Amino acid sequence: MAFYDHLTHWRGYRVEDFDLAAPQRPDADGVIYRLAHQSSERGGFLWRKITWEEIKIGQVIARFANQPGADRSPGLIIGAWEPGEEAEVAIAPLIEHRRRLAALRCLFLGEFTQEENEVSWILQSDFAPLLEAFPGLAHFAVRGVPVLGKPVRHEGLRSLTLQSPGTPKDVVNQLRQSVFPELEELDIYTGTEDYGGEIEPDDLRWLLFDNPFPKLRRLGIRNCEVIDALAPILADAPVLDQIEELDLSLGTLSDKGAEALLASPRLAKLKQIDLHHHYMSEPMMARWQALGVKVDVGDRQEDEEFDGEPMRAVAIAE
Amino acid sequence: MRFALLANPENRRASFFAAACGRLGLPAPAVISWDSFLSGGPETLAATLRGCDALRIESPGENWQVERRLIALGAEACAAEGIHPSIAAGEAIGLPEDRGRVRFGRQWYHGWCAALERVGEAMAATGIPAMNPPEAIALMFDKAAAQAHLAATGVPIPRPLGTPSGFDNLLAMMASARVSRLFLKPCHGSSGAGVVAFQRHANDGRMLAICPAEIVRDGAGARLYNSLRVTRFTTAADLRALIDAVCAERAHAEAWFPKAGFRGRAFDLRVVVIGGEARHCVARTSAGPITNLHLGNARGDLDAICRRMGDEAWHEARRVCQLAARAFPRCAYAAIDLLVGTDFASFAVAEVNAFGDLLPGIQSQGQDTYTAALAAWIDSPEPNKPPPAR
Repeated sequence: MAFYDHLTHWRGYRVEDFDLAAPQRPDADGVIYRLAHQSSERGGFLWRKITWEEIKIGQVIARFANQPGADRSPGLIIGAWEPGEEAEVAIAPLIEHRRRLAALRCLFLGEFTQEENEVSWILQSDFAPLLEAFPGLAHFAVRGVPVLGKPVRHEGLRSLTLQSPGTPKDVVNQLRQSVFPELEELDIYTGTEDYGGEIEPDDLRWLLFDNPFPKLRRLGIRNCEVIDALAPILADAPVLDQIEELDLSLGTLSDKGAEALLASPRLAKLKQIDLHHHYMSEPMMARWQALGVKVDVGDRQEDEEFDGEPMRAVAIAE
Repeated sequence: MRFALLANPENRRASFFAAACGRLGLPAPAVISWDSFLSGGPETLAATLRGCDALRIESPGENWQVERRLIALGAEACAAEGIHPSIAAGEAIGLPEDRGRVRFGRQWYHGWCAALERVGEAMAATGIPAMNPPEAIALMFDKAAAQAHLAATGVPIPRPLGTPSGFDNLLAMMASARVSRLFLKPCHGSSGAGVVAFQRHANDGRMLAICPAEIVRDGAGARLYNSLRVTRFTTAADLRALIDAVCAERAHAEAWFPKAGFRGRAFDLRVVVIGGEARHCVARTSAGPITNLHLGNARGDLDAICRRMGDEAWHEARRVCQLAARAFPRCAYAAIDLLVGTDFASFAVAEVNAFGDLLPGIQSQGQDTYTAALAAWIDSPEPNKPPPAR
């Protein structure tokens, strides 16, 4: 599995591609726009001219920001930018135009599909300045290995999503020191060490035991290679009493981790549990389904053997 | 009306055409095999054509005896060209099969062109037309030339980069064109064989090639085999071996046009244009860059994809396919590989296939591809000049 589809809807809005040839009004009702660079690789878009014209993401953002109505646009999806460039090529112009874009409540940084870039090849940049420049943001998502240069304080952020093939330790450490009083939803794709994932179960104890985000009601520890080792810790964690939704999908959860989780009385109080893409046995899946909670145990994976060892892979890796 | 069929008679393509003739109440086609034609020369075909009204030329593929005859036939031209690996005719004719091995592709193409030329001679001698004429088929079998031809006709295509001589030359091409992701396609190949999705990270130089092939190394060096398994190559040695082997038989490099994704997979469309009209269509979906269906990929839900595109874009998609087919005006049918952009509204033609209409089970107006092409041909007022697109 990988990211093949572009978002068609996000955070209650319909997503449309911003058309440079015939720019739409940025404040159209119920719509947010995806901005992407244009290059020779995307040349078919411009075939009538057969010029393979390049338009950088910075120019596209400036163009959008200068459209009448941009100051009322509620969201933006930053799609593909120039390959080989870091996210800074989008972050800098977003910050530069922050006054024109002050109404932004939703921002997605780096919504590349697999056809546009390998997810492990997306070069992210420090997103702390972006959060600071947009105090009105409620929802923020990043795709690619995330970079967070310092702790952030953001009074309005309600959801944070890090979609990554691997999340480094220092990003989690900066989050630990960050202040998000309104944060309701946190999704971290911890990933695999093959692609920069460094999270060990103990690195997440603060999140599970210290109540860092008092309003949290959804926790996603997704695409996680160490989920079996994390499960016994999570099973005892007070965070389960606080949240309504637990998402451990896209990872390598097997019967071992599932057994530990199911031993916890806290799970039955959740409203929703997503475990899809897992390595559990069918009897174990049946136990989840008997839990009395809405549980997704779809997309069961089969162990592959390599040198006699079972090989299990997270969903978002290459 | 009776048809002659030049084909490998054991191949299911021959049975499909015979079935189509039966369905339309035509007599069984007079079949002449590629093997006997290639051993016998133009007069063998002319003799068959004399009893017929038209010819259908089928793929010579999936038959080793025919393949090595074609390689042998191309020996002289390939040696004269002096760029690509060649083998003497006498040696080629006894060449044992090494299943899936990528070799002598360019020489095969020279032989294929010579064979098609002989078909043309037989047609000229008898005045019998072909549903798809040999010159058009020859052009479709040279990807670089065919793409240039499409672009000149105003058909949108992925940006062409050239025909690299090897790995180093490809990297130089990428640098000067400032392209970091591309497809490398054997000019004379088919069915995705040897197609490489190649990317080089513009920042740190990492490289990744995705290709349905396997590299086998022994004392004699590295050999490349087509495979049903799509492999990711990342080491410098593998990348060089792979790309050098593909380029050695002439390959066309083009920028990677990002395909649309639908329900968790990338897809493109195979559209058969018959008598100027886009008819049969299959969505080929894949969890990887290469969409050919025999590589474990699946037909997608075309209706759902059309709904996602919307009427206007779907109309434009068909129009682009018809435009591509019109670049080969004397062909009664052509199979277009249409790339759909990530916005579901922009399009590029990746390829026009001479023998891409083998789509079992796919119907249009109650007809399979073979029957539809035959019926359109019979109904056409000037059968050797199909009408322009509507």
